[in-house]
Amino acid sequence: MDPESPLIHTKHVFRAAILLLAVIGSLLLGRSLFVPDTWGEFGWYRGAAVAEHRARPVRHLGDESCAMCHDAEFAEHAAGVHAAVRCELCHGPLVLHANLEDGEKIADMPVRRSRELCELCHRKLDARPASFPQIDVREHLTEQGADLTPDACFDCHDPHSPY
Amino acid sequence: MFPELTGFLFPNDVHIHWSLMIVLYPYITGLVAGAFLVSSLYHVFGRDEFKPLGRFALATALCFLAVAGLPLLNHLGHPERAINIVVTPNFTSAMAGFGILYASYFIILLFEVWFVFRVDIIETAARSRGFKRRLFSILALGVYDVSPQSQAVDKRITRILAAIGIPMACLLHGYVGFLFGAVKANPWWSTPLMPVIFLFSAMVSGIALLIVLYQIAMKLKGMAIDRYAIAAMSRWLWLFMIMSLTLELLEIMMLAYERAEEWEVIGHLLTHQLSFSFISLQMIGGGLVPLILLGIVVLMDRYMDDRIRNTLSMVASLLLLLQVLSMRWNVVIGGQMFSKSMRGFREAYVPGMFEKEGILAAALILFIPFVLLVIFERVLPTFRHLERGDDPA
Amino acid sequence: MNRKSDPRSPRPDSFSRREFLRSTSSAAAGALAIVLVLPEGSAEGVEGADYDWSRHRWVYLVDTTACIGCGSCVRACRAENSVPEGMYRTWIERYEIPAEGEALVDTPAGGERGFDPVTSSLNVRKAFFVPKICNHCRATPCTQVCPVGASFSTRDGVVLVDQEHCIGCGYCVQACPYGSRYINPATHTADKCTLCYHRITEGLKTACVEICPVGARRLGDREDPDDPVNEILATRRVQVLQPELLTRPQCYYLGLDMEVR
Repeated sequence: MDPESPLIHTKHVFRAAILLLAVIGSLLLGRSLFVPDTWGEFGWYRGAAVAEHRARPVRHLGDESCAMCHDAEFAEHAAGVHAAVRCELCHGPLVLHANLEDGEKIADMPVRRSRELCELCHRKLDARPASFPQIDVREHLTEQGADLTPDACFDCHDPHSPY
Repeated sequence: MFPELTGFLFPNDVHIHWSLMIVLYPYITGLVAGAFLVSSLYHVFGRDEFKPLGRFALATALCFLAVAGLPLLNHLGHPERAINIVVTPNFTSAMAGFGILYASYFIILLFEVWFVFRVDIIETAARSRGFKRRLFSILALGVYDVSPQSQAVDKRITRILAAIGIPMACLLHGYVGFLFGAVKANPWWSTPLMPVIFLFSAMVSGIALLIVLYQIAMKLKGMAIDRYAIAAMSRWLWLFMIMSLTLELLEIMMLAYERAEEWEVIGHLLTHQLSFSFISLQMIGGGLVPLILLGIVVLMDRYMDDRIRNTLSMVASLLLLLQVLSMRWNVVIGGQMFSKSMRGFREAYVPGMFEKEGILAAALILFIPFVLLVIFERVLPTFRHLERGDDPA
Repeated sequence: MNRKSDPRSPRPDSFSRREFLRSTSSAAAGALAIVLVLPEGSAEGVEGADYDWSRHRWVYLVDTTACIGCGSCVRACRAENSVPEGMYRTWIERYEIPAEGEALVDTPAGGERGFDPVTSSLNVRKAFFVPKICNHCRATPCTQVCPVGASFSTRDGVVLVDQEHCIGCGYCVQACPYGSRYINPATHTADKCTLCYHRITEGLKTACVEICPVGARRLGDREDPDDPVNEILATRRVQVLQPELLTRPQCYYLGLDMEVR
């Protein structure tokens, strides 16, 4: 370089600028290596995440699935006032009971036959719609002259088709 | 004064999720912004009373900025994925700006430090042998030009970088305030005043930190504390703390006067859950007391013995450092004390000593910049220009 | 570098879960033919395009006047989605509003174990349950604030979290005005109601809708002109939660009281 040039004393500035550009360049380059494959497929997110959500297992399978083995109970239940109450509401999700690959039973259903189970829906509460059937269990049992046993309800009511 | 709350919380609103770490983060960036401002007052605006600390303030800003990301990293559920913030930044999020702002500010600060200390780096390289010589040669980027012309170039570029740095520092810290101010789900955070309050309290904490560190550094080095520097910093500190305190009070008064629906919750919060950290620390101990102390320093400057000025400004600065910390606490933790049901409060948050985001971790993170500063001082003495006697004062 | 797939139907593999589920009701008795997950490519002749997300837009309708507060939805949701203990993708709130004074609101364990009668001396004249889920807002503040694009709205109107990309900063939890999000203590990522995306894209209802014994919860599809939920939204007076925040919730309420936030 021309020793008279005023730029002779800015050599370090150019070095620093080149270093800065190199750093920024490598950062931008490095970034693209980390972007997930399906990024931006549908929007500013990882497209594969949608499929991952869809791939989660279904655990509640509905009354018709239960009917495949328990058609008698299904028919009785479907004809009664509890028709709108899904099997799995009281019995729990089907996956706990049957192997979904081959339909083999893997365990008993974790149903807890008890007064508390009925009371979840039918205990008298201010906040429940007045038209919904609900009772004060103690009062009701006293009226009926029955004892307050854990499964007192089932002495008179069949949960599959009450009344 | 406030109706008894029934104490109903949304069932997911049970934990204070943004912990002590998130209190620390705006605190540290605030210290950076404030320290940077002091160095810029000298480098850009040519306020010669700050010349004794121009370089030291810059080094302080760099050392604190180096750890500013640590509390965030420690808080993340997946710190190993932190890089996603720069890989796939979602620009509708205030937080996505973090990577870009932080990186750009860091680069500007690094380069400014380099241009300010370049001559020192070259001199050190020339003086030493072996590995140290090689290291400093690399640091000098292989250019050993210390001619007056090249130093003039350094000065000019320093000035430009410092000038760019001011809005960058404001952005970096204003963005932290924006982060909270733009959460419309939270009435205690959601106010356009939030970034402004954060900025002013940042200046307060940064200047206060420098008053403390400068005095300690001078004591350790056995050098005289510059009376004009302390007096000038006290003046600026007083100004910024008055503004900051006024804004903090205004925000509360507006809420209370408007009788906005959220005031029922926030009023209760400030007078009950946060009564100590808000009323005692942020407003009285850290607000009113330093206001008076600094008022004395500023108004009676002429009649004041140096030792009294130093002591008063030191005490006021320590109190203000506490004030800004409690302000961060009150915003970050306070904003999570009530459920979004607006009907109930969470249990008080007391960080544990040894938990992941606890007191010990916070103390460690806050300790690192001081270590960095000592190392920096060893490598590139920030007060050498004073020792060399090229101080015009 | 993007691997393009059929944008109309992002799906995990090439079987039709929906057809299997349909077939279960008509299949011959004997073994349950509820084969849910087949190895990739083993299901022959089943097109992957059975679900076209541009032809659906999911909404949700809650009838607060029908809810009996049994908590079945909360239990079903937990079982269906492995919701961790102490966190809720759906919950039930109870409001007891006396003629004078403050409303009494509670949600013991999110209503998961039902409700006990309130023992208070207040003269309660108005009381009701309010089920809550994620509102799947159209202008949602939660995806807006996600710094990494890990939270997003699907084209069929569901707000989801990418569990593999989320960094766990918790900003979305802070930004949701409804308390619908939580940090999952097991995965350390943000988590929330997915509107049972794995079910609704297979022609099923969400677990909470499926299990509700009184029809207080309903899933609707804005793109389906015959959907009864559309008829209700068109003709009845409905409300959304915190409408003043303009988040455009897609969960509508019948019979919402002003005490409910």
